[in-house]
Amino acid sequence: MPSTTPVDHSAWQVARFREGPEQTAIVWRDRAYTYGEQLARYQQWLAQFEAAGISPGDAVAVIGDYSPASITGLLALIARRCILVPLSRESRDQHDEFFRIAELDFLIELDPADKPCFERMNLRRNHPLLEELRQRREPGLVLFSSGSTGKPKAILHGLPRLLEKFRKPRHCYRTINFLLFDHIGGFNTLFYTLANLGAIVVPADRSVARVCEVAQKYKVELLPTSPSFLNLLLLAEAHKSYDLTSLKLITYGTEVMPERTLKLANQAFPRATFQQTYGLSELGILRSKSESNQSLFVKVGGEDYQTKVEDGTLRIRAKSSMLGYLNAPTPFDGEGWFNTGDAVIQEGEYYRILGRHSEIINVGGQKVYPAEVEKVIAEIPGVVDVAVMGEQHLLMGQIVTATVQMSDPAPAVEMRRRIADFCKGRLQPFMVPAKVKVVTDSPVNYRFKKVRR
Amino acid sequence: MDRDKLITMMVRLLQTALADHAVAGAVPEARRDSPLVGGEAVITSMALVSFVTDVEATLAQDFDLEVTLVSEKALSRKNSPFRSIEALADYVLELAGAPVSAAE
Repeated sequence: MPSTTPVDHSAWQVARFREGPEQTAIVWRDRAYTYGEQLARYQQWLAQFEAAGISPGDAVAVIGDYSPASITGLLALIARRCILVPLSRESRDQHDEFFRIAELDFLIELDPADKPCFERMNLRRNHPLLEELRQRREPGLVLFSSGSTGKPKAILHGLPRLLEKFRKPRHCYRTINFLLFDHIGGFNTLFYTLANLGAIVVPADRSVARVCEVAQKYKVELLPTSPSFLNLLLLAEAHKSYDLTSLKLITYGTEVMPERTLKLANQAFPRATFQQTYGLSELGILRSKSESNQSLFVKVGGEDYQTKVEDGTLRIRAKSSMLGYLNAPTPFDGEGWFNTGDAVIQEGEYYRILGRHSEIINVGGQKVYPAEVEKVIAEIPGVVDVAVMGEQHLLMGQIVTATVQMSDPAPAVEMRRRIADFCKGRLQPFMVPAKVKVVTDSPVNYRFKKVRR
Repeated sequence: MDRDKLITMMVRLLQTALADHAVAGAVPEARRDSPLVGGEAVITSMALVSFVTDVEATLAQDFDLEVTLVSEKALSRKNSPFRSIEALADYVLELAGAPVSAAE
């Protein structure tokens, strides 16, 4: 078998920067930064790593959002062959747990002015998969997702494999990086944009108003988003109050797209192409092509992916799949196939994704396993038993609901308050039950109740 | 059903939702004319969901009224019931079958 030295993606990427030094790399806080300026920031990072003692193989978390420093920081960590752990500020309630699972050597936190603060963590325990990457002298990536056993799952990717596909030239777009800094979709959009010397436009926050503001001001062409965001945009009629005619491509994923939303979105953006995206933290984002703007059918795959349907669910075998979970057994079968758990209808080469078979709850694109929420609620004094479920919601797709049995029954509204207060600092806001029901018998009896549409 | 009582309840619940979902920095103030959607909305989507479900739960518990506020009907309205707390209160009164008036 021929051996190939993996291409150093960061070196390749930096060479690309040099091809377009005057081009806008990122618009942040209303100022455009060029690729030339980003190159300088990247080099500054390498010097800062040296000074801080960050070495190849170190697991380094970066807490921040898309900014001139965070982007160049990730690239510099790849150059340094570190194991990247990007973390959004939104997930901070679970950070302590994430730090431990990822066995952090260092933590870099970016302040509001984009200045880094370095902290040595010393949490390394020589996890075999992390050690494997270190032996191979390869950079890695750790992402987190909700776990069915009650603990968040840590996904480890080898970066050379994950980044390979970005070296194939594609379109250059001005894009808003809507998905979060620690989301596989966000990571995908970032490296796609950098590889093609596109521009990332960063809104002040991810609300409809702020996103539309920058989309209008900077004539954004690509908006990767979620059906829930489109619901809110349509509800606010933002397409009427902002000039969004620059949008050429609107991609949607992370949750099932309701037909109604797609229809209304097409009406609101007659000039845009709508493209469904599909991917998983475990596998990366697949290349996809919607049958048409109005269709929920999509072709997924591309040359690095194989797909098949078994028992009505979509299975994928990917070249760029993760090395494994740091804290759970391998989900791949003997032949490398991954069961996505998504129920699909197949028509020729096209799939329509119907949604999860399992109990996973999808709140506006963010996934929650009931077990993880139940584990926390069960610790509340007075809670005898709890069952957490998803409930359909017109705006968010689904919301989290909890049915609790109390030793001392309290009104539902008060319980919701108590649960919300207890969950603060333990769970992320979208995981906290939006609705609470108090019952006198076992909550598990309610788990299989058919959900209202 | 007292419109002012409804509004007071909703302002209180909105303030709670804003405090719960604040990402960083100052928590905006909840007022009766606070917009819930649109350009000037004080609230994030998750906070809006919490707020609305809290309102529904309180209406059921304290006002004996079972309603679904986020419905096809509400979303397809020309004048969104979510444009302000006052508009939402008027919508609740409409659902309750009560005549909408400013006085109690």
